[in-house]
Amino acid sequence: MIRLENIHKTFLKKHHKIEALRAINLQVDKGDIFGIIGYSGSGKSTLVRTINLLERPDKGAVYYKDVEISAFSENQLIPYRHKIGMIFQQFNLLASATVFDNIALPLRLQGIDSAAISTKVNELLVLIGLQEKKEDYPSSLSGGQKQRVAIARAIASDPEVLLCDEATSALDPQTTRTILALLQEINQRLGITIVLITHEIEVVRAICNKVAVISNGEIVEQDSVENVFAQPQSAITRELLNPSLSLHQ
Amino acid sequence: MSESTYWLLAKGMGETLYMTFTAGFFSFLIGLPLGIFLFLTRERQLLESPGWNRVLSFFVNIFRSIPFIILIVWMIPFTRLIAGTSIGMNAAIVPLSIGASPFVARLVENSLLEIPYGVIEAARSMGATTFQIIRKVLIPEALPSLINNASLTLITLVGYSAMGGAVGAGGLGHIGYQYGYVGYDAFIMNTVLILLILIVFLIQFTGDRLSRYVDHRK
Repeated sequence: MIRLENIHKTFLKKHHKIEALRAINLQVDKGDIFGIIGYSGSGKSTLVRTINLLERPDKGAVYYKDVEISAFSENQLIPYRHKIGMIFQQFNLLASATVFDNIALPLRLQGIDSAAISTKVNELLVLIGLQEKKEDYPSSLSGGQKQRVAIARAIASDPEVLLCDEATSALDPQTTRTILALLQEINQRLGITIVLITHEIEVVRAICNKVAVISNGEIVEQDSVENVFAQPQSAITRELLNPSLSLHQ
Repeated sequence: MSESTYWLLAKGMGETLYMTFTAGFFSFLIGLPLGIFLFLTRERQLLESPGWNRVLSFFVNIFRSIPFIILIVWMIPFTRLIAGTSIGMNAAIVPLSIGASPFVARLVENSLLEIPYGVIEAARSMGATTFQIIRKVLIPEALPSLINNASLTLITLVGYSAMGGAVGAGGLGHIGYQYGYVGYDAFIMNTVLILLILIVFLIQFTGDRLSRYVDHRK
């Protein structure tokens, strides 16, 4: 479904080079819930953004269903971005728009007629269980409710992939569980492939089938969740699995 | 107050309001796109371009440095070209609009900077074009702040339009100058001041109400 080949990305910060990603190779298959785990500053946020090319790699290629989308211009990318939804740690909802209008936004961008939009948004409101909040503004919602709205917005244009950038990091453990359950439901019922990045091993344990461990811009380990949890290969992975011994807390 | 004084002040008030709001309209017509462009060409923004940003910024700063009373005189040839004359109310609207638009551009740029970057990023991830982001994200999200800045601009223009008296623009400023400063009629001068204060308060009050009405951030 998604293939990253030899991705490199360097940032220039105050005349000082930072290698955010180094020689990243990654493959996500259809139906996966693929976890990318690493500490903050490991490059995982940059990595997830190279998939929908919010960040363009300096070197290497991004393939979506064997199409090299990293060679495309911003305009050529538009139809692909409709197929790749994204949610964020800070939700990034429009403060000026109601719950309904937030979810409708990606559909309006595609010029879909308002009757079809209304049907679709109402369906999604049922899925996320927020029908009665339809006319409310995001400021009146809790963190978990905001993330539900963001999820509905991200899947409104029936994407095949959903990217999750630390989607539960701003939420308490209880709310995290309900959001993870919703993501799992979306994966199983709607067949949407999920790529999520996180620094919490619990998130990976709860819903992922595959995991990649990233450290200092490099993938140090990549396998099925069972294998990685049973036989961690790298020191970083062992540390992530056993946070009580970690100095990164 | 005699009937003639009453009509004099009423006419002056009408002229001041006309100049303020017409120039306000034109300064947003020029300043809004300019401000959006200043914002979009900044580092890490959608149309990132240090060159364009610097050039635009340079001209905005130049026009903002010219004292308004000098701008009026300096612009006379251009004003004559646009308005057909260099004296009177319609002529004053030209330098008023040109003088206020770089100010508006900076205010618009600042309003847009208040929008969290993540919101723009989210719109990009949905496949929004730059134009769609301007229309559906930037302007609606910045609207409360843009309205506040519109009141600020209009209030500044009330003051500027009084200076327009120098080119025979009329308005309350002209009356205050003519009857108050030159003719030393304290009554007319004070009435003019009260009317100007009233206009400013009214603009501020309406702006605040409107801004609060469209603000859903809290």
